[in-house]
Amino acid sequence: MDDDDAMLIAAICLGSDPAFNRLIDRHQQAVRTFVRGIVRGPEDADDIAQETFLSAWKHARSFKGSGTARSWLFSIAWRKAMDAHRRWSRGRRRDTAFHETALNDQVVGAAPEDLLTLEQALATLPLDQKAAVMLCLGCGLSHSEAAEALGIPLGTIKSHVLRGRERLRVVFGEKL
Amino acid sequence: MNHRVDEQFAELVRRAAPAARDPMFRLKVLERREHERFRRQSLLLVTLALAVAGVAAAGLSLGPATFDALGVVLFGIVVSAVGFVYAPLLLRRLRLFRS
Repeated sequence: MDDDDAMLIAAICLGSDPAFNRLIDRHQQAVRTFVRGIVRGPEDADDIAQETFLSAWKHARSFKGSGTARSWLFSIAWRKAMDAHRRWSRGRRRDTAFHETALNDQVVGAAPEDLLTLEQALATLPLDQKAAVMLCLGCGLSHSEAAEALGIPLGTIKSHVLRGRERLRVVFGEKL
Repeated sequence: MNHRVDEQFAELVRRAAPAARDPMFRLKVLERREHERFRRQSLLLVTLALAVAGVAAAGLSLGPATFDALGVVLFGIVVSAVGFVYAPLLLRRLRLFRS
């Protein structure tokens, strides 16, 4: 699988459209799931996920092959999500109403109540903790893969996951 | 205990996940890529048109003696702009055929 991904990315570097299509098909669910966990509103999340693949197409040569393609895509998605978070933080007052209604407006490919429960479960966590929890507990990455994807030290990832898990225990105790 | 929380969360993420293969998502990515490419090329063409107009206007104001030089400059601008737009595409296709 990883060899396949490396070959796909090598082909993308050469401008292969079929390889790009396969990369999207193979990883879109994981990337979209990750971004939906850290960004409010599925439409905004899908927007970031699309930007992620677009960036992967443009900067395919930046993939060094030391980690997995999935970690590389997560790292791009994480940077895009942080940029979006900064923009939204600046315009929070203006956008709050939009984000609060975004879930109810249109939910693509998942039951609204599941997305809402997921969002509520993660709502109290800071952004980097959310990302660590989503990658390690939600997307099945190892701590070291998550550390690489998020560009933070391994110890920090472990403590983020530990704290996030504690928080989830409280939320699940209340809600589930 | 940790295992139970992890499983509950993983199950929640699985339920909230989008479809494994969503063709619409792929189409949107490709549409966005083409849109960006089109925007970049349009911008370049507008810049080219302005440059050509500017050079032509400057040349005409200098009189008929500069027409030959003006033609060469305009030709150079057009060729380099076309090269700038299509060279990356041609190089990619060439590399793809070689591999």
